[in-house]
Amino acid sequence: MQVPSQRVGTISRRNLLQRLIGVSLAAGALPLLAACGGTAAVTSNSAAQTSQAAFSATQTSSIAATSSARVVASSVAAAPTTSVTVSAAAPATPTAAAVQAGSKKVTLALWMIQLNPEQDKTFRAKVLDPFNKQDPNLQAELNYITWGNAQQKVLTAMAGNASPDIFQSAPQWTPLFIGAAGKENLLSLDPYLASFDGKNDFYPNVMNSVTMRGHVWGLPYGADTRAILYRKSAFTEASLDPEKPPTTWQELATMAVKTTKLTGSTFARAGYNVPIVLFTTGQQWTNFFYQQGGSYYNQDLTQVAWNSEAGIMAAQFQADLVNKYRTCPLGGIPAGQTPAQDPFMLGKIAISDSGSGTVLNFKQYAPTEVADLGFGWPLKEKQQVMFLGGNSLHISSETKTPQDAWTLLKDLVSPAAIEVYGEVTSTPTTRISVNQNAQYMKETPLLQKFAEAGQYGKTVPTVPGAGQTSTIIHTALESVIRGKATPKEALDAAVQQANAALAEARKTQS
Amino acid sequence: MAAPVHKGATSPLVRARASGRHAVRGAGLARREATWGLIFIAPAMLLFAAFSLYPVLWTLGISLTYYSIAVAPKWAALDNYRVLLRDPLFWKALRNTVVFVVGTVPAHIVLGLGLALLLNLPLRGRALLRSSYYLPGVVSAVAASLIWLSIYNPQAGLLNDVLGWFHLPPQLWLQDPDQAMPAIMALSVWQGLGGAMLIFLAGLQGIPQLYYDAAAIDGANGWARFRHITWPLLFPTTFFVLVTSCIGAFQVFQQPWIMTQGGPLNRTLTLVMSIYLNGFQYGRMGYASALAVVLFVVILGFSLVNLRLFNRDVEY
Repeated sequence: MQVPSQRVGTISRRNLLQRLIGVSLAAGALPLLAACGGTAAVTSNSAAQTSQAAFSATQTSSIAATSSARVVASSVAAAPTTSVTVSAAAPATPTAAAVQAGSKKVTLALWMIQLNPEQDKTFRAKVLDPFNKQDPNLQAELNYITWGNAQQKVLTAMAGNASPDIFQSAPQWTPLFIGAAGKENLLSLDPYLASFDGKNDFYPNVMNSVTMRGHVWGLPYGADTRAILYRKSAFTEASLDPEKPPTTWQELATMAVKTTKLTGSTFARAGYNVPIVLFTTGQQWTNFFYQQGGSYYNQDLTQVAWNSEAGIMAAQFQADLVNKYRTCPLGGIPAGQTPAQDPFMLGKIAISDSGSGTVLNFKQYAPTEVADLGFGWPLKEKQQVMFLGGNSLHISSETKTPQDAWTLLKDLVSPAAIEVYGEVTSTPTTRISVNQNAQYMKETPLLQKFAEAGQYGKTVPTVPGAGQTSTIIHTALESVIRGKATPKEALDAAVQQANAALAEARKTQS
Repeated sequence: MAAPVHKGATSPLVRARASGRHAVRGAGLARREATWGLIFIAPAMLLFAAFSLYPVLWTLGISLTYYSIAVAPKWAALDNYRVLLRDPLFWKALRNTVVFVVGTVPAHIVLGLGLALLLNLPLRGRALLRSSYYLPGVVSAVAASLIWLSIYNPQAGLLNDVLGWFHLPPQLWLQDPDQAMPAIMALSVWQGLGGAMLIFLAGLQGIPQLYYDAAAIDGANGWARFRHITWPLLFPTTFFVLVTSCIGAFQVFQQPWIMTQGGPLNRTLTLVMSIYLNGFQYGRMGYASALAVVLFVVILGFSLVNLRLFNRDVEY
């Protein structure tokens, strides 16, 4: 049987499919390239934080936000004065200072890490609204970003000349945001700090995280001090003194072994968790590394110094906790997908390195369990020390009104305002006086202890290429924990890779 | 069978050319038509040029520079490509990606076709079954990944519970370097199966019943009918599923990123994840662009090979 394969004026099924394939090629492969090559459109959230959301969804929204922001930014650039813009419409997007018609009203774009609706309500009522009422011509417009997408959004905004006037950031991103000498994307605060009497009220170790090349590029905002939290009931069950937390590695190992509970081969409770999770494993190793007196970088911050005796001991201890002491399963107890599923809160882990956020979790989701929480100071081997994180506020160098941006920044870190932020996020603040006097700190003794633990906090210095080295150390530690390499082999190889990455980052940034 | 044949079928334009005065009018008409045609496609072409072509060319340009986004690009010639060829993580990501493609695409085709053949039969509740199999495709990759993350949880996951019922030892799944990629591939096949099934169903319904009737008269059994009618006539459909599945599989990102972030021991690190990490986490946009160009070339190469090997002209 024969059917003519060519019909005049019609498209055969095969032709249609061929055309569809052509379209698919374009629609499938090209956007991937486009995603890398779009100037300001070079974004994507993505997958950010484990919640690390939908790549494409955020990509789209980022592009949209950036594009519109750029439009406003261009109008700013085209305006006759540098500090004000003249526009009939109200500013539609967060961007550089925009000013409305006929007046010299400045609207500053403020990008902060997402607060939940309740926190947002309090923060606006007690911090932003009073600021905006002070001077009708100086307004702050708050927009939220998340830890998952903040880095890309801010970088993309910088590439598109549409940076917010002030934004919240993590210390490890500072080198990327600052850029090269003479081409900085952040405003140096040195000239303003000279007359700022609050500057000595910040913990000196957190001020280090915003200082690079001898200049201050932002002000510390939220503190993330770490200490040990443990479940008293698990200690009692294991015939341990519930008021006596571990203070050394040996005590940690002994107590973790005793509090570990197995049901068959399943860990009903891990004594101490060693998760194999990007960034988390490295952070835990950093604690042990610092406690053995390790130094993350060499003197001039050009090379990592992980393969020292301290580094090797720390990696070996991490591996021993899993393989020798068997305090948790290989890979660790998986983190929950929401704060309410935190395995420590659910009693699946007995001893945990924690930040004060854990206390907030308990208060919100398991208030009756708060009394079961015991607090332990950072462990001491050669040094009593723990990793110190946190976040900071920065002014973009693109801001059209630096003085106004400084006014807002100064207000945000004022004792009254930073106390509100600390209270709504249930964390200690970065200001010494506030941690000593704030009512919410006095009402929660655990928070006070976390604030005090700040004195043992040590940050990881911020250098270009730090992001890549975090992944390198993670892979090295993972291979040690999985028994694929000895600590020395893994760390020697990691140091070589990391140093090459740092050298390349310096080349890119210079 | 009589074929629709247009005797002396010529376009109006050709006919107009044949006769003097009409020729001039005809040419004018063609020009006007062409002008309007261009006007109509202009918006789409402009959008394509602005949001696809320009960024693609820009990517090619950026791949020849050192670029951290926050600092202006600096000329690097082919340095990013040289680094890429020496980067063990690039080769690992490429290998993982190819393993993912080879593991999922044939499964999509075989299982998708099998399901389509079953659901093309006059079964009771067929519409419900079709919808059920297509449902996973409607779930977002993020939500699906989170669900499967719970299923694969080695301590409290459903899958280990099921193994326990049969007295089989619990597995580490996503924590095991050898099981992680197959586990992610299983999720991907589960999610993509409905789409492949739908396209095959459409293809099956495009095959005229007439052929099957004729074959039945000739005494062909079920296998012979599948072998000589269904399979050859589904070739364009299969080819379409093959090419689109390959392209999709090469771009896998969300599932491994959410479930394993490339671990354990980089065994689920894919090329797109590498692009993302380098571009947006490490500030190596030049290098990430070079990776994107290489991925583009790999996808193009695969598509051309597919085109050469599987694009057959089958008509009866």
